[in-house]
Amino acid sequence: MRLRLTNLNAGFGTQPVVSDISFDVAPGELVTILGASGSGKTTLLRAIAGLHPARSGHVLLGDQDVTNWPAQKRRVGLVPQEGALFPHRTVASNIGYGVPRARRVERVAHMLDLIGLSDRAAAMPHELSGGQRQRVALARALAPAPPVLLLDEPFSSLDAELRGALRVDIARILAETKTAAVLVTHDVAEALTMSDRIAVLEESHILALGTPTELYERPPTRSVAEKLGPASFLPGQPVDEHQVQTALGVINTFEPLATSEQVLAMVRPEQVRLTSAPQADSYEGTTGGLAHKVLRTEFRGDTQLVFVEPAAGVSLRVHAHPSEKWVPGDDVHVQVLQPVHIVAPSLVG
Amino acid sequence: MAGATAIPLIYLCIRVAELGFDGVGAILFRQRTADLFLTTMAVTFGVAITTLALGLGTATIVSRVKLPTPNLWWIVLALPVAVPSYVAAYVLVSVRPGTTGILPTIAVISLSTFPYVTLATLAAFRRADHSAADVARSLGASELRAFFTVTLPQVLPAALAGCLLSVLYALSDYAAPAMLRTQTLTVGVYGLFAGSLNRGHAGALGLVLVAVALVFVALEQWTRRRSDRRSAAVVVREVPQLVLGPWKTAGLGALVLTPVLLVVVLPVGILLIRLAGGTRYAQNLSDLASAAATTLVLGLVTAVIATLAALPIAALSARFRHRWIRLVEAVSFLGQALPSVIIALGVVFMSLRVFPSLYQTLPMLILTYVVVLVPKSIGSARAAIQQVSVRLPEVAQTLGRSASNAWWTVTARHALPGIAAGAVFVMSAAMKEVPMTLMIRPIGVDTLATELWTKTSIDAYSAAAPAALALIVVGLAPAWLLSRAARG
Repeated sequence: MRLRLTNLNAGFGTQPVVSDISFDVAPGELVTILGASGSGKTTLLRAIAGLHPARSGHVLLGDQDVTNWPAQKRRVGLVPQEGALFPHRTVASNIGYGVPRARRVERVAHMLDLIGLSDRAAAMPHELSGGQRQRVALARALAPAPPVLLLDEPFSSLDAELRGALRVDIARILAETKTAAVLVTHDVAEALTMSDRIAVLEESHILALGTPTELYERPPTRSVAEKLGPASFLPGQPVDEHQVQTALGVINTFEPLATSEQVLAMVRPEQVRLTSAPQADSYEGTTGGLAHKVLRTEFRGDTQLVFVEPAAGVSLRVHAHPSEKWVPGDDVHVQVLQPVHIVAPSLVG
Repeated sequence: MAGATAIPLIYLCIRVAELGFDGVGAILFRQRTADLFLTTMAVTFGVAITTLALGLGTATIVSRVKLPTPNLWWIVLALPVAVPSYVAAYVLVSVRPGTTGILPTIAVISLSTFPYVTLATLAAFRRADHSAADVARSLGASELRAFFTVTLPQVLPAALAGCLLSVLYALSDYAAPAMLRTQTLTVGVYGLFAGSLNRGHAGALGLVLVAVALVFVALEQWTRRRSDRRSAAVVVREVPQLVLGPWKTAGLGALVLTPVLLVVVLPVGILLIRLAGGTRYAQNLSDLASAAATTLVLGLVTAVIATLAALPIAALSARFRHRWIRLVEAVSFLGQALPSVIIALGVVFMSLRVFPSLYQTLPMLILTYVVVLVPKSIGSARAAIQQVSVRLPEVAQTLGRSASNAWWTVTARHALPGIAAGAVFVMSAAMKEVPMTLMIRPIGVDTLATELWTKTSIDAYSAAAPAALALIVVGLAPAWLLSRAARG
């Protein structure tokens, strides 16, 4: 079933927590709400579930307006932080809580099989590992076959390895059950890997909504760009419709320029390469033969971060192969590998 | 100190064994014992059900409904423990002379102990994971069903632990049932001790009391066998509170206040009126003053000795998990579960056998207080020491302090408020103690509690009013500490 939010507002007292939230989630689709702690993510989920009153706006499930329905009537699946298993009930009894008695045994067995915990049906929650607890919480939420599933930072308490495995599991289970899902998280890597689409939430508003590639490569604003990963921003003067003059020389832009005012070009660390001598560019465009100084380097194991200062006050962050030996003070040439994205000029500076 | 609780018990058993099989059988298998047992069961179960109902009810309202001055309720609801059950019983008997029976006994004990359930439940509500209730709602449960199937089971172990304290209090209470002519096992044991030629008979009956106490402790342990005590620490989230209209809010507030009014405000009011109107106490003002002084000195000395004796055990058991340390803990816990008449009996038997000259002297009385109350000191001191991070004295040592200097200047310094709170509990308990004091005190020595007891037994109600008020004042500090500890 499709979940649709239109101009949803919710808050505490006079304090708005989420404002004017609108988006759709198609069956089988996973939309991630990405935001820092305190941005209103959890309140938004609770408002969708019917656990927090909406001030205005609508929540629709399919064609049904459920804005004024209580939680028990909406029956939206919820996986809270830390799982929140009922501590006094067994795994099977947790999973069966929301299933009518007649179908309970069969449904619980099916869900246990789906999460691969058939042998732990009689265990108590405190006897499970963190990853097992989260899978039980997921099974419990999915057991009544809800139209929509809400996941509130479900992986935040797990270590990195377990997190990866569980992400894959959840994506598979959601696809198999054709459930529309909303995930909230502050973890960018999680949002980029798991989502079909990402909504960036800040100060109670959705700043941007799009697929992970769209938002990563062509964010609407500088602030959204920074939320999805490290990037450098170079002020530039348009030369023509497709080229801009920056501290790195003249570089090609991804989208045509409609202005002759100064713009801001976004350069992700993996979009540039460092060389010790000027190179012919791999695409049409030129960075000129200017040499820049290496400011400092950070060794990261699988990669190496190099900071270059192409102009006063402009710091360029570059991912270099760890075998390249750059030392602060080295002269380098910067080769831009792709056309760059121009973030909205109104947000320059 | 480990033996402190165990040795009197051993003497109790030796003394009972001397009666022989037939002698013990003659005490245990007679109608009187069965009657005492049934009355005790009726009182304890009555108290268990009443305190659970009062405690869960008040705690649920205070934590789930938005009431004005949220923090004040924790203190107000702790106040009833400041009123000893026998003071409440005395007020009841003085207002309606001739009140007797099981129901008034249950009412009096329940009203003065239900805060153990309330405070434990309030604390558990605060620790409970409220997103579990959210999940239940989203799985189709109504608010009521989510509360009963998910929230309530999370706080029930804490409520039952609090209820156990009320039940153990009821089991060991002597003065309140005696004033209301309810023949419980404790009253029976004391009666045999004071009235029988062979005190071994009291010991034999006492063993029944021990068995009953242990059964209740075991029952409470059993009920939380499968519950997860660790989950409590996971998620702390603000409790979503119901906002009701002014009339409903006022009504629920009044409901919560009712037991407090009944057992605190009303008795204190009656006592003050008696104090203002009565003249009889004026005649023995000097008796009263000397009883007050005796009580204060006994309480202070007991608190100091019990605290000093508890420190080494607490320090060890807070830091090391060793088999014999756990044994010490188990024995101390036993000491808290056993009715004080039992320990007092054991001490009497021991003193008559080992140092007969000490029997009915003040040192023996203080020793008995210490033996009974030292588990309380150990408990609070251990909890306080455990809360001081082990890293702190370690840092002090790396800065050049010796291990013992670091312990005293860092660990003990930080644990001091908790240790002091334990001393206050011990002092107040010693000052309010009745049956042990009656059994062991030197002839002619009176405390406030025995003053109240003797005045009530000769129906001199007005004369007892000042002692009763003083005993309530003695209980105020521990009640406040209790609410503070629960609030965390």
